Amino acid sequence: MRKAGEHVKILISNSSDKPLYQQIKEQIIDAILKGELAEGNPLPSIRSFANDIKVSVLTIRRVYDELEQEGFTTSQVGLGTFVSTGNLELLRDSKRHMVERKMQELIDMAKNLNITKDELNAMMDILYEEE
Amino acid sequence: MGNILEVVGLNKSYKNFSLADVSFTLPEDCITGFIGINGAGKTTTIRTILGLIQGASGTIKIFGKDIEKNERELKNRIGVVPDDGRFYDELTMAEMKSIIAPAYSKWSEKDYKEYMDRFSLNPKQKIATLSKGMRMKFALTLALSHGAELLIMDEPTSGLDPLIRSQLLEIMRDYMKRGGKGVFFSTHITSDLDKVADMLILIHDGKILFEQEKDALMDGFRLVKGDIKALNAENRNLFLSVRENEFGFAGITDKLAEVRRSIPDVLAEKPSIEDIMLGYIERGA
Amino acid sequence: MLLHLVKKDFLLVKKYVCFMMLLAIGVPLFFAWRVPAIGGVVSFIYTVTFTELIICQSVAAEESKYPKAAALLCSAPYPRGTFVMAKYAFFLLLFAYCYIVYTLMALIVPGIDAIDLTMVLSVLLFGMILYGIFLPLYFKYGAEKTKFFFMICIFAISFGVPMLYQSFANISIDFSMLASIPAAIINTGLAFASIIVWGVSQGASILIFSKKDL
Repeated sequence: MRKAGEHVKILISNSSDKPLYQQIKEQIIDAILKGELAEGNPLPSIRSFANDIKVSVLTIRRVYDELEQEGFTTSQVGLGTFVSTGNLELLRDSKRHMVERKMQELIDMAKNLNITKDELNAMMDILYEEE
Repeated sequence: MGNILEVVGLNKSYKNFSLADVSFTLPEDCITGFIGINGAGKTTTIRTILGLIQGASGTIKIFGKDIEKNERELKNRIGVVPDDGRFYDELTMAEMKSIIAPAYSKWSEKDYKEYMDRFSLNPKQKIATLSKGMRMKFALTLALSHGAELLIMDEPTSGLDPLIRSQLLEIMRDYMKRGGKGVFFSTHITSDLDKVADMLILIHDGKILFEQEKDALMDGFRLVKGDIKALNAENRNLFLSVRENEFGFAGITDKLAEVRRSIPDVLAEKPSIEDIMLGYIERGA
Repeated sequence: MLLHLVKKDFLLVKKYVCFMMLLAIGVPLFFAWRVPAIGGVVSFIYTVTFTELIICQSVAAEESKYPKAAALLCSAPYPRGTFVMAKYAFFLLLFAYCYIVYTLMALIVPGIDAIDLTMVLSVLLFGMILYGIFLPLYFKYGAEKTKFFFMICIFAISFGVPMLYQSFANISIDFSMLASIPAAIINTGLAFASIIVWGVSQGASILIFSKKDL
């Protein structure tokens, strides 16, 4: 995906269990939340995007539809699809939401393996500093 | 976004073969692959859509209009690339074109010349002297030179080498970019579809076995391999079809989770379109 | 649209066009030279019949060599009816050509008699009847089976016409009644008959062709 000189990488894994459209959607959401895809900027046309990453237009169409439904993008008839602006709250919430989801997975796993909350916190302190 | 082609309840009987209740829909802006083995009914279906076969029951709508009532207008908007052998071989390409071009109201001489150049075709050459690949390119030229919004192709790639096939696929993509609204092509070479198809429709023995988005199909199905002993009457039903040999079994399924529950120790990989097609055919209608 | 389909038929037999042009010139000359007693209508009949038979048979043979080409044309916006009408137009064009050539030669070559309108219309009607029978059969059964039609016609006409001519010379039928009818009415009647045969045959051909699978 290319626009305004920025290059956003969309990598599709053929061996992943996740459906194609979901992989693509999540990577776009990622890019939007990280700011790699700036607010107000246009997304490429469905067909050129499909051609670029060698996926069917129907898949991209579904991705774009869902992105719009979830508020990440807006489309204007005749002009195309753009990253939503002024939805910082939503985005921030989404960012938090993403992290919360991962945390929940962590916590579940920890509980399964009988790791206590304190141990978990200690691990977190160490790893966070490493980054 | 409307449907570019709608076929409902097509029925046509012959002595040894019939189309039974063939129905499918092509969404706009898609390249649709019509697949099936030889004799499955692909050409018969296409000929019926083009009005070459009479006496079939059912409705066919193109661009939302019934083909029986708007035949001429609709044919004007369709580009046809038939399977081989649809020219008067004794004529030159220029003569053949002089017969066909006037039928179309939006014929573009400019486009015609561009394509003839692009394909390195000499209009004065007699059609009988052309190779199969050149004949297909000529047919494509004629189909692309009158502003057609829908391209219908019947086995355009059969008998052609991989280079020409890949050129044709490139042209299909190009056509969609240039304002073409849809491509419908039949083939039994499923590897071509992998590269360009958005939708897949499988026909077998005159009946439609599936009609699906290609990516969804590939996402949904898995080729599963495992130990024969793990198969039983119950979990067999989770597969479209199963092949067994002395080393194990291989089956196509879209219910991977259930299979894994029943047989935890299996290898799962993404199948090819051909695997899925064969799976459906082996299962039967 | 019609014109282009007629053009198609000419293109299909372009090899024979020269031969055909020569035929229309050659036959009357042959008659004038060899059998001057029989002239006029008879040589015109031969010209028309041979030209039409040979050319139309060739067109039919070419079409049946490439049946899918007709399918391609009908996938294009050419209505089936127009496809059929072009065949009749082709026939009429050939006839017109034969007539023009014959008339020109009658003006130039002393041994060739001009023919009057009644004779022309009679030959037209005769040809129309033959063609009118042939085409629907061709559309229904294809060129292979109708090949024999041509052969029978050629033989019948080659040998039949002189025989008829002889027998007319022997029998003296009273044509006085016919003679009293003004030519204009006879001509109109002949033209009318031709048109009716044309219409019926074309209608049948269109019906047959419209139902055909290509």
